[in-house]
Amino acid sequence: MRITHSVLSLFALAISLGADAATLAERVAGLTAPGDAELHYSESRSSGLLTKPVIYTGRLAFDQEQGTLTKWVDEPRKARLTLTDTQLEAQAGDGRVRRLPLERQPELAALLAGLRALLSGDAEALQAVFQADYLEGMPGEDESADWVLQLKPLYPELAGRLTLLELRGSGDQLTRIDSLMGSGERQSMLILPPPQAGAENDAGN
Amino acid sequence: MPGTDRRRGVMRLLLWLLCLAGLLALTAQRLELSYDLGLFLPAPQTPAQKLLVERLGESPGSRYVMIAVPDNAPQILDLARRLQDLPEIQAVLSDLLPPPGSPPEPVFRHRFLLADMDWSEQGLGRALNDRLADLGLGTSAAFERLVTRDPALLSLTIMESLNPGSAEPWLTASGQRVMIAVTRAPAFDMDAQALAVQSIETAVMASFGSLDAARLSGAGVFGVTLRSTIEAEALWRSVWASVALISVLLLFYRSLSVLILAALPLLAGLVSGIAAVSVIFGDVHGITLAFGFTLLGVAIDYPLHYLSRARRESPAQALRVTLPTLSLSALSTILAYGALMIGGASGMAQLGLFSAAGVGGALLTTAWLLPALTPKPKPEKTAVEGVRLVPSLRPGMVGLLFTGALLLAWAGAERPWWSSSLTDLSPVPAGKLSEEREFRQATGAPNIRYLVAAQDPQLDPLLNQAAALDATLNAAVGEGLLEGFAGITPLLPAPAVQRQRQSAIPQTQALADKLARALQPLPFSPEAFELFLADAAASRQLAPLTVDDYAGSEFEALLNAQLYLSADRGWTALFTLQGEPDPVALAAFLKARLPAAMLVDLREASESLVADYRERTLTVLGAVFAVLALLLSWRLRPARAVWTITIVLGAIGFTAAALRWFSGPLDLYQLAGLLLVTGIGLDYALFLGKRDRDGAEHAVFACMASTVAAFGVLAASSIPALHSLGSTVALGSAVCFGAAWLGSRPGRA
Repeated sequence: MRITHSVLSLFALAISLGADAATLAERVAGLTAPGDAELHYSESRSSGLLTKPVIYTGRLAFDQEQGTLTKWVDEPRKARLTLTDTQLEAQAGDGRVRRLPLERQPELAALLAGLRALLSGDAEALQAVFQADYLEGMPGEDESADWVLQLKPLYPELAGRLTLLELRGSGDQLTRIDSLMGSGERQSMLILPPPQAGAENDAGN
Repeated sequence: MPGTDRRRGVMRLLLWLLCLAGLLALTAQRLELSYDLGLFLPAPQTPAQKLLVERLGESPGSRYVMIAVPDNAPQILDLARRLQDLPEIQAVLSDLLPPPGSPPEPVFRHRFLLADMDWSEQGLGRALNDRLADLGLGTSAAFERLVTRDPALLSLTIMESLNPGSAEPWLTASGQRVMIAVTRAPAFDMDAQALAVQSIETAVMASFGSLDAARLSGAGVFGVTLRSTIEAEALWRSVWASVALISVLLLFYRSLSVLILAALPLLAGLVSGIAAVSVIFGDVHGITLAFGFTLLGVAIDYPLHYLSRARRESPAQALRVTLPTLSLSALSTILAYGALMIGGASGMAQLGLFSAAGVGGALLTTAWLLPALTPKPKPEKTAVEGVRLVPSLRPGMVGLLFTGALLLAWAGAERPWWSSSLTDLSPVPAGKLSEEREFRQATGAPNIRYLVAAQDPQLDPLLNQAAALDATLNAAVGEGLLEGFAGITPLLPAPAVQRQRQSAIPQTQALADKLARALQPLPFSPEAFELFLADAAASRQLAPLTVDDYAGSEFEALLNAQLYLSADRGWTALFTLQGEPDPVALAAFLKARLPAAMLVDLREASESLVADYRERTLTVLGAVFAVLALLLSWRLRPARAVWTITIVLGAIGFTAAALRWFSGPLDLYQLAGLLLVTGIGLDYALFLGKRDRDGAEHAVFACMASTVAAFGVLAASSIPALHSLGSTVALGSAVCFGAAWLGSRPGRA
């Protein structure tokens, strides 16, 4: 589901600078929302429609006061996705806005509950939605990471669409989110350091 | 001699039964109960009234059963699945259900004819760039499949313009979530609606474990609940009314055989009423039966007049004394009831015929059968004989009566005489109506009061008009006059417009070239859009989409509700409106931009219909009174004729004024009640006005007491129809009796 994936990408907001954590509870407690800071990302999208994977870059923002999450796609073409308490609003390049009440997708509601749990550092609430495994010291395919948080949806409707969600980080920094969709498709999002001098286009997969 | 009498009695009874059996046989083949309320409405005059009557029970949204349940997504989705499986349910609408991945046929196949598409290289490039942006927000296999065939997402645009649902969560003020089950049967098909409601309740039970937490609302639901409560209450009230009637008769006559004899004319009246209606109209309306039998209530008086006499006199003597007055009374009543036949609505004509024929049958039975069956008189003083001790006052009482009526009328002068509101007639409690409104607001279901209509004798010009109206209403939305609207244009553009769009589709090779150039700077794979090229080529060969193409599709019900053909005025397209529009501003806007369009206020139309109807009935009644006056002055001496008419008019005027004083403006049921009171009043006045009224007093008092008792039971009902009718007749017959009694003197000429 397209929307499911859109929301997954917002998980990247759930990062913060935290101390080294030894347990899931500590790691999650350390992962609180970064205020109204913007987070830059880069993700590679492959699709049967495309000849080769396309790199999308953009920003993720969390408005703590309003409680809204926004994903801006900057390249190759502008688009926006905003998530409020009640609805998801997608604005594509033609400016046309599509709104979708969130409750329309119960699996999405579960995913959001997990997202909120992560944003508020609530390990218990997170574990109500996901089976969460926290591992340290196993870099895996991404050498820059020294820990991984593996989330497997407990809610069957959601598990059918999303098999596994992996958040990786290095020390206090979230660096990458991988999602394995129910269809077997794998999507990756890299979290970039704040742009200093046009470094954002270097991030490949 | 007694032997001959008995033989004669048995013979007549057999013959009478044979007649009834014959009438019943005649009826059985034709009797077909119909519940089409439209039959009871008068012929509509204004375009809005015509629309109201034509679409009665078929207005868009009338098939909605709105279900408010606790806001629990898994249970709601479970319920939605169960509802979708029900044969009675055509569609389930919920904000929690995902929108369809790709629009159903025939819309999808015809998408390039139904909406505008920019086929230029730039246009294709823009659409593709937009889809590239979409992919950055997320992807799904279904969405990608749709993009390969419809890169501009035309089909989604068409579907979006059809869906009138609210974009906000469908929640009530108390936090319940509302979903909608659209029934296959129209709202007025009570049996089918009852089945549907029952199935829905079973599904709710299965999903939520109990019915307590759920609230159902909608036109069909109201009809079903009302029918069962009305049937139940009408039944037990009828039983108690009968008990009251029987008790009074027993008190007055102390004889079981009198009870049985008094019932025979009623039975004959009922059978001849049904027979007459079924022979002339083919079917009998359910309401005709209910109301007709009530109007027939006056027929219980006929045997009583005779039987009261027969207590002390021989049957032949009793009949000879009562028959002339009885005939005159029955004939006048037949005239009054028969007037309904020229009222204009076929349901009312049925009612008039039923009651008139019934009164005739009752009179014949009383005159012909009863004397043959009556036992010899056994002179004895009955319990209520003492009534004769009541002193009769001067005719000046009539003046008092009129003065009272005038005083009451003057005191209530600020109140209107008549209520035209259908809500006043509606037995739906006000709380249920506001709940219904709340659910509609929550779901964005169309406003049921206002519609915008376009009409044309021919379909094609109408579709052009509808397209113009669509644009105009869009402008109204832009100016904030309207929250939203839904019409047929997205599904049925005019054929010329469809052909124009079709001719704009480039030739296959030309389109392939344009697409290739548009794709050049983009990372899309050119092969991905082969289906789009094939669909575009196929669209060039399609015949424009017509109404018939939608038969059997899931759009069929939607189209039927919003586009229809009527015999005299051709095609009508209806647009439903969202929210609560300002009718004055919107009407002015439409008038300025598109004068052919019509803003229809269904409530106003129904109220004016009721008012027209009442006016016509009153006019007819006025004419009837004139004819009655002629009849009475032909049969009676002038003084008595004037006296009789005066008494009846005075009693009715007093009753109407008193009812208005106590319960507000009069409704249609009270009007029907007054009609019955007219029949009763004539009867009382004719008998009490006789020279030797002594013999009649007993009967008239028995008639009045039984009528007041029986209709008093109905008057205590909470169902508006029963209450209005019961209170009118109970009060009216008491007033008629009082006027006729007090207004006359024994021996008065």
